[in-house]
Amino acid sequence: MSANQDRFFALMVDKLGVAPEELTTEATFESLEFDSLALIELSVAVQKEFGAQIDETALTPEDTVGDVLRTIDAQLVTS
Amino acid sequence: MELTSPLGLVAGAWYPPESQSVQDAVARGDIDAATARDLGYVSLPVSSAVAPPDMAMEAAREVLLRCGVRPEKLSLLLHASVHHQGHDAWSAPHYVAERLGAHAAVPIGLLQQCNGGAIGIETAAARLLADPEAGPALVTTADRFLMPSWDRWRSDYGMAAGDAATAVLVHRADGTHPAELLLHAIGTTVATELEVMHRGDDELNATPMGHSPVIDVRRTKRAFIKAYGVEWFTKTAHDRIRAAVDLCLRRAGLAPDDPRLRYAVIPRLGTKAMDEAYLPPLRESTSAELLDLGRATGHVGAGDLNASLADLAQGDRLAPGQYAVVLNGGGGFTFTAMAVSRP
Repeated sequence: MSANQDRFFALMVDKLGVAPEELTTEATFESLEFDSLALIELSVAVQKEFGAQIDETALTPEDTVGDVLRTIDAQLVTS
Repeated sequence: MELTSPLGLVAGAWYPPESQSVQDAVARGDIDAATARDLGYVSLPVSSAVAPPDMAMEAAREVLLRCGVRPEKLSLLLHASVHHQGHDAWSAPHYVAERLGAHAAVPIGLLQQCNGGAIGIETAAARLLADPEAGPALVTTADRFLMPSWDRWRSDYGMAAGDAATAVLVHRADGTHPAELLLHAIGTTVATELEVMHRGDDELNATPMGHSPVIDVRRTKRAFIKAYGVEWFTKTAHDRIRAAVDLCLRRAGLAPDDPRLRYAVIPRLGTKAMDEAYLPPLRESTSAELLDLGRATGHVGAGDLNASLADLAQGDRLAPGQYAVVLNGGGGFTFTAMAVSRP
């Protein structure tokens, strides 16, 4: 499991209103009913919490929570 | 705006014969299926052949014909638009007035973003109230949203743009001209602190279309959300929408649950955007049945409210004595609610 998963999941629940029971690394943003504006809020929240840059314009509804988590992990390792 | 007595309205809209269905847009990749669901449109009218001022002419001619008002009797021609009208450093309102034969009408262009048509009616009302000799005023709107300058499905969040023109004749309702609707009250509120939403963190430049080759409101909205968050917009919009509707109903002498108030007509934005920004405050202000007239037109630039007046004027939704409150908003921001009734 990613070292950042607990923090990221807490952020998704506390800041973005995702129900904890729906939150898995396989969950797509479409399944979580994230629209374009919610993806922008996600990128802002990730930037504030982790200092990691998520390009929300590159995210699609088919991308998963795990995809974003891997981006965070990669940026934190290289920084 | 407080009206001393109701004004008469005759309202029409012109839509091009061509349209694009949402299924076609999804199949062509113009929009993804999830966003299409959130928008909730079934189709968008497309005006490939007719430019906006000529679209406005079509709507205006039909309205003047219906009410029997000669163009030379008009005192004012207000033309509102959002996007390119067909030429640069040139006045579309003067073109419309000239082609229409409205030679005594003062042509004025309104750059009010998407609330331009509504503000046009408010400005027309002010002219009629201020000048007892002024003849009827005509408010037109017209826009088309064509590539390469505007991607009707993707230039903005929360809406897709349809091509249409509207014309609303405003007169004194003194029996001289027919009135399809009576205008009883207008409530307009302002939120200029949200102007930044359509500018983002862009600098003001010296060249038209210099920020992006295609109008990209999504970019400025992303910058806005990153700087201020969605909640600030939603909270401010709710506050001003509620105030506009409350003001309008109070001025019209209508209680929120008044049995005469048949409909609360909503703007032609995407369904999800309306559910989040417009419906909560509207529901707090009135229990009238919600009426959505925009699923087959899309958001028609400066003319959403005026197009809905056209639908109310020409259809049989309102029985004599029944009222509707028609709501609209536009970037900048202003929010307008109008109370109209069937005579």
